[in-house]
Amino acid sequence: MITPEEIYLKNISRPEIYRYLGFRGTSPDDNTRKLVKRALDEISRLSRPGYVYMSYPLTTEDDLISFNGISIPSKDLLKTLKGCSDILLLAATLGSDLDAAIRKYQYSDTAYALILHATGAAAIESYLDSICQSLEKSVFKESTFRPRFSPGYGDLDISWNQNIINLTNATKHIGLFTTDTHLLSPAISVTAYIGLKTPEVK
Amino acid sequence: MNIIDALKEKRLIFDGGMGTMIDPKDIPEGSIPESMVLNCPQKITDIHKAYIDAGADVITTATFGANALKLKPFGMTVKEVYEAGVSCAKNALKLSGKKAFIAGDIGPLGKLLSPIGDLAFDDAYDLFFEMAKAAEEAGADLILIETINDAYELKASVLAAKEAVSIPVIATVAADEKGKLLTGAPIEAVGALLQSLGIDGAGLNCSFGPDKMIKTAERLYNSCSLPLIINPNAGLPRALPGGKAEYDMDEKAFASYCRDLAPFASAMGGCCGTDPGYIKCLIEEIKDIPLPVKKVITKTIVTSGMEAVEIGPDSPVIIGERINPTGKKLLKEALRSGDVGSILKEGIRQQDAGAHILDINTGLPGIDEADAMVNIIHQLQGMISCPLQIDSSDPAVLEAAMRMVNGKPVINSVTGSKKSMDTLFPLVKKYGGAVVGLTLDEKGIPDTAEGRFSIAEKIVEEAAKYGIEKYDILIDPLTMAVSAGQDARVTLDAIKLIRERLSVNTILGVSNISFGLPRRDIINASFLSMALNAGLTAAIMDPLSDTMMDAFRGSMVLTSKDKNCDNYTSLYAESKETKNREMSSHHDLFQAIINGLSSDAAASASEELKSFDPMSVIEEKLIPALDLVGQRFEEGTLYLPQLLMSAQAAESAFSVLKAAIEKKAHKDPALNKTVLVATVHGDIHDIGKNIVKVLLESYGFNVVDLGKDVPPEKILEAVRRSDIRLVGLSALMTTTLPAMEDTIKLLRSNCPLCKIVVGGAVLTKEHAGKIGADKYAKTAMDTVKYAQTVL
Repeated sequence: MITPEEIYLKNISRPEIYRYLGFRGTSPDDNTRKLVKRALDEISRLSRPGYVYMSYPLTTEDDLISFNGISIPSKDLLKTLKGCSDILLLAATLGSDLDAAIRKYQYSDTAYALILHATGAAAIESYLDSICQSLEKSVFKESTFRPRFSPGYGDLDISWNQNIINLTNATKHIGLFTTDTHLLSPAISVTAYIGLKTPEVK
Repeated sequence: MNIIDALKEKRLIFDGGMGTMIDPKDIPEGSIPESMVLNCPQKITDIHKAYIDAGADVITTATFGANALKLKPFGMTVKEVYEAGVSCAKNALKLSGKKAFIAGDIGPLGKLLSPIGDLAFDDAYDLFFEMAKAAEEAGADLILIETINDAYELKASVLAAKEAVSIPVIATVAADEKGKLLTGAPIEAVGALLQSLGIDGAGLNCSFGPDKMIKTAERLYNSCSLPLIINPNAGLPRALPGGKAEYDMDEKAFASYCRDLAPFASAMGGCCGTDPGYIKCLIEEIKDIPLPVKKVITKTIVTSGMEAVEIGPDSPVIIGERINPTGKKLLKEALRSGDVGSILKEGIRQQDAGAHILDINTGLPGIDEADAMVNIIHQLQGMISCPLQIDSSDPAVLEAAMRMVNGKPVINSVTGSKKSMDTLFPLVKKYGGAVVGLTLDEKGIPDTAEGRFSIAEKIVEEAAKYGIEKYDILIDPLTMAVSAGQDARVTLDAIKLIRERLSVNTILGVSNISFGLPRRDIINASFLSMALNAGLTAAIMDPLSDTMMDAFRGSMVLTSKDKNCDNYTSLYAESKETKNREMSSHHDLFQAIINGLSSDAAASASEELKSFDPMSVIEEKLIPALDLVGQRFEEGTLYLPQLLMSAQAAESAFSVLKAAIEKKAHKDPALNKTVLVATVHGDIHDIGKNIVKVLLESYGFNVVDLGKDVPPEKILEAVRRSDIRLVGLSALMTTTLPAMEDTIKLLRSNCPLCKIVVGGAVLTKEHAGKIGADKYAKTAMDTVKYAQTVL
């Protein structure tokens, strides 16, 4: 089976990168395209992808998200979890080398730093897509995945990053930390809650 | 017998996983596993006893995360947890009637150290110190620091433990499959760092099963002389529904893979997923494998948090000399004004040009040398992968930097005088590092190669008394200016003598040779080639000089150090073609800026200077181009990356034009308009500030960039020092807005004439007004426009 690490680089969406860079409805100039290409090469060289996950039985009775003795006060998250039997906690990163490169370019080539950052953001999304596809086909064959939902989306406070990191042991296994302000470090990383639907529940 | 002696006699067996053996149900709801030693000590004692019965020689206390940061919210103290933890281990020993060493366990803090994260090095040090001290006082026989996955945290923990206790200290790290720590350090950097810190044992634990550790273990074995301790997981974890994990390797498989690791290991045990059954199997499987042969590694390796660089006759290195104010006007200005941004840029340029190590010298009258040194190193090491060479004549400055630098640095320098050696060698021993020894002493610099060799010999002998090995010394036989009648051959002969008779590495500040002569690069390059041929192993030089880099790379080919000329060919085969391509796309300045092409913009600026006055080029070409780009950005027909590329192109053209203006001594007040920018205290996100800086520079403003996480007092100090009239402050996080307010208050009460512009993702116009800013800038262009009106 092809692993997420082998496939995600090929599936990065360029329109997504241009969208992150602020291009709306117009196509980017040659210079930007060239730098995006350079960023993709650099990411394939620098990234050290890794992910961890953990799943728990979930209840959403009385509109309260509850698993493993934890309840999350978020109406937006609740919408995606309704009717799901389990919740999957997922954390993934492209590693700290890419972060160091972005920090470096912020001082030596700010325009390129911006492009590398945007390309990194698209790359981690692609990595998450690949991970979910792979898990859906292997470990969680019986379930279908609802769209992933990350701390910081809608009314789900960004401090929930820590909950995902703690329960998946992401600091120990993939070197993912939060800062005092609850941001992820390395920055090119994602944590997410995913609802799992199983046929019995339908 | 302590564990150091025991490790020499037989391969010791460590216990297996602790977390694996604890039933999550036994941890009180809402608490942490570290509370177990207080709440149900019997269960922990039983686990220890099971490992002792299985045959473990070393048992590890259940104190993995018992740092004050983690314990405090749960009302526990470090002291009581270690006391209870060690007492569980002691009780288990009593019950079993057997003997075993008790390792006081110290795990990572769970926070990333600054500048990547937000935990200060000194705070990390204090947390580890408290843990180590508590473990020793509770009666542990050794300290086991484990599962560390960041080189900087490793340094903080080992330094703290070594200072806190007198029992042996061992550290094992969690590396990935490629043998790297999560923050990038290769295992060779770990080996070199741990050895130079004088630890008693090094090793690997956690991450994955023994099958995937073999290569990394072999590399670690070959990069340090320390006994190795290897505690693998029972394979990889598989997450099971319900928040549990199981490991995919059974006892037999675990033990049989450990067999392949044993030839490198003086001690073995298990980590996550292993239990007493695994340890029993392991003992049975490896009992016939003899202890590793004691080896002595004599390589010179220096490290950063991300890299290991070997220095030796087969791999001479380039040490970038540009971060040194001597004779450099711009760097002097940057140091005086506190403009860290320019200094970081200088570091990055040297690394990109091919420097292997960067020299950092902040010796400038009128500034606090230690403070500047520490600040620059702190900010550089989040982005530069080169190891650093700490350069000062003041031992106090060296010590401050040696303590906080990430990795094992080069220390520049000690001399052959008794006083210098008495002061510096104890520091080198304590903090670790490779030290530069200058061949001069109380009597001055000898005129002969033999004389300099004698001092080198004296330095090496004296260092040995402190336990500093030959391979951690680089001798500088001193370059003297030929224009002053000095014979360069004395230096070259000394290099040969030192290499042949002492087998010690040599280092030279190459550029001193040409002092007082025209076209210094010609003399420097010739001297560099000759010195490399004589056996020089480290050249302190300017990596931005093509002539010097050409000479270095050519010499590598001619002294057979560039295998198959691979490096040379890869760098030079295409260069002619590339130049042609660049020439053909030559634009006019206006167009080059619009298109965002930096090198074209600089080239066309030089071209324009042949026919026009620099000021008119700025006014008629540069500014109109920028204004057009800015206008398109505001209209939404051009986007941020393009705006920045244009700004960078304008800036490179501007620096060409500015040089021409300065040459003509044509002082234009417009060029002295200085803006100070900083990201406020507590905030480590500086993308916004950096964008503003690029735009300001493109419009010709002089920018003093204090970097990120800058305390209000530092900003005030810099404003006063350079008489700044406009300050730009940036904050990305809501939580750091109070720091912005504090900074504004402080500036207002001390420098009422200074204007303040603020920006950042979470700011609004209203809030900016409320905290007393003069101007809220929504975009980077707003700041430029504001600067144009107030300066």
